Amino acid sequence: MVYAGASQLIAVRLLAASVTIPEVILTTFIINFRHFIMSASLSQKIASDQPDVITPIIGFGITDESFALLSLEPGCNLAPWYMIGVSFTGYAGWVGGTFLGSILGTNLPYIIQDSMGIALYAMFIGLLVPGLKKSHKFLSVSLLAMFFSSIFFWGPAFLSQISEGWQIVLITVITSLIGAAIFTDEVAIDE
Amino acid sequence: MSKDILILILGMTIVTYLPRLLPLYFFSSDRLNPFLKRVLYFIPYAVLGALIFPAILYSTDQLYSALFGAAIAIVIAYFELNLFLVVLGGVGGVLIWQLVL
Repeated sequence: MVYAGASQLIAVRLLAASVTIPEVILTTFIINFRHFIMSASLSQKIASDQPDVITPIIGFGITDESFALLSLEPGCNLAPWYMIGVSFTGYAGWVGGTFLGSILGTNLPYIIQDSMGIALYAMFIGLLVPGLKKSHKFLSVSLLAMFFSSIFFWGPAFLSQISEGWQIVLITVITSLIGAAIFTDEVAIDE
Repeated sequence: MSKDILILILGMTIVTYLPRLLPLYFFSSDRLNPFLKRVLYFIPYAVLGALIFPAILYSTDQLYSALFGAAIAIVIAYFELNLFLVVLGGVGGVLIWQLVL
């Protein structure tokens, strides 16, 4: 029911440290608020004549991964059933992977476990790079986001101490605002 | 105790679900301000940029193995080969670097 991997781990850790329930819920909210931004962006890619009964299901399926896949899909009329397919393949993979991981996880040689650490980022690269090739606008926005992200990461303590979830939210909003202010030509939907 | 857990799960469900659901209704209007539309349009590129860097550098035990894996993933992605190959290339790159060095 709580479809949020990192939050579950953190909830367990916080509970073990006897933090109160409202604090755990607040932390979960902060970590996951980035999905608000992703959902807002994704709303632009949903056909407006889609049946409303499906919207709550699409909302449930939004994650970093499904967002990366869906938002970089060309066109502005993603079929609702396609979105649900992507999301729930992800959900099945998440549940199945947890099960498989709990069996295999510690039996894999350490060096393989360590190499798998890059897998998610490699997938993000695979989704992002073809988009960046299409326009220097996208390349500029992405590089700017990486620049801000580096400042938050290596920069002064008051920045690097902000929780990771809010860092992503701040960087994304600032960068997209700058992008929208600089590149003022009409949004070409089918780029 | 079990009542507390129930409240916790319910609370976490609400705070993770509503922020994902509500924007789908609020922002779906066709008469959205063009500036806001452009902002929303750039979000995927900003989010992924921020998610990838610099976190990817620390995704494995060694900085250089991560750099090597990232480079291979970028090259494969540049030629727009299958997504699975990109992931395999990234993981393989890290593995090769760590085995060789």
